[in-house]
Amino acid sequence: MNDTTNAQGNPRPTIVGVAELRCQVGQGSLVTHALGSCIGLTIWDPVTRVGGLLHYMLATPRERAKAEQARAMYAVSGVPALFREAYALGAVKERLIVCVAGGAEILADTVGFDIGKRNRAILRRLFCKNGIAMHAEDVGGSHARHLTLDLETGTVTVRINNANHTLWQR
Amino acid sequence: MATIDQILKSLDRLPAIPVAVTQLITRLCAPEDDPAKESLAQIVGRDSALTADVLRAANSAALGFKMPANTINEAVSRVGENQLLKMALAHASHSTLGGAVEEYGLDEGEAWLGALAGAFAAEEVAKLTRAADPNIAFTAGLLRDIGKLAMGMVVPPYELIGLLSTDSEDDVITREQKAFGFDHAQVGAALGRSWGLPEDLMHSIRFHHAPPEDEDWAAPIHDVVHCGDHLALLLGYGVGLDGLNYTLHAKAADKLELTRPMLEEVLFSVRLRMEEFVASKTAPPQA
Repeated sequence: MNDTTNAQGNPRPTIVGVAELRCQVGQGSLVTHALGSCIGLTIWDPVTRVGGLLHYMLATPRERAKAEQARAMYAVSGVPALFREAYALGAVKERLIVCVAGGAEILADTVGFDIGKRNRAILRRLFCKNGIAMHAEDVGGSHARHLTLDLETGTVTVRINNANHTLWQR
Repeated sequence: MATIDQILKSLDRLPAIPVAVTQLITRLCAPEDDPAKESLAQIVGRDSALTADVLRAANSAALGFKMPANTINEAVSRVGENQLLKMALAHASHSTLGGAVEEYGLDEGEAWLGALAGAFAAEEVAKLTRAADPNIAFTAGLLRDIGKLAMGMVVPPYELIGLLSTDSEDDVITREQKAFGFDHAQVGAALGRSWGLPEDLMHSIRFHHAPPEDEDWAAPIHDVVHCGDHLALLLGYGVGLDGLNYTLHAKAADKLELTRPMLEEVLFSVRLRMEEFVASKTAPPQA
């Protein structure tokens, strides 16, 4: 056992925090915890086994400087950055398996801030504009979600209230 | 029928709070010109572990100092007493808030992150709207959910887990009220009273999910803490089995004139402050 493996010698999951993105090749898994209104986006290339996970908070920044300071915080800067990093590691756009989770709402948001809804809408627009197909999604509602991408198999798992369900698998 | 205070008094054990926390709260919530208030160095200096935590936080790379502060007084002169008091309070509260809260599906450390996020959010809302004292907003935001620590002691834990795990059209507060006759905000206020916290702070804990409209009870601080609580939920900090199943009251946001751009500004700041704080918590001590 070392810093990167658990007691069974398996790679530890790489945690992707709020407003972070991570791309890796072929070993272990990427996981993000407690998606509220934020969106977790996974991409995975079945040939090169390049995978990535983005956990973004908001659709667009009010000022461009904010996106430069924290690109993974916003969909408009984080999503292109995720794809660019995956391409740099050998992923090919046409092969990518794309999955989405999160974008929940406060049960009764009588103010109408609609952060989750706006986060979901911007992603659809970005995908539509760039010809990206979404393979599976689990979004909306008022649950917190944990999202995991297995880099070897591409399996994407969502955990809600301590129950796992498979969002995508080969 | 027994009150929540009486139920809590009847229990053999309750969540405890370090003396330093109550002293820091008293200091943070005291008027500026209160001659009796203790200095941060006096309070923190009685606890060597807390002193080390505060110095580590003050010296963390996030704050950008080239020469490390070796004493609390040096740290105060660089960071400012207000900011350092809040750092100290956040660290000192870890022993109370840092454990798992199984009834709400929170693993070790998750409730504390939720408390911190709510504290930062309430403070930022207070600063932006100028509706309340940012120090009091921070303190109330930090402690708003202490009732969750005790709910599993005053109701059967399996009933609470079942209640939160089942889909419902009711928000969590309504569900708790219907099932038990009280909710975790009321339990939190009673717990705070048993700890001897200031009365105003207990009101903010009591009303953090339902800011009162009755003018005898309404106060901007309750609206601030309520909105801060929901911003922490949106970011996913401290969200467990209860999910986002709460009600965000429009009147609270309206009274604060909190707009979406302001809310997004607060979310941005909270995220950065969480990152800084967690980095300072895990930074190696400086020689």
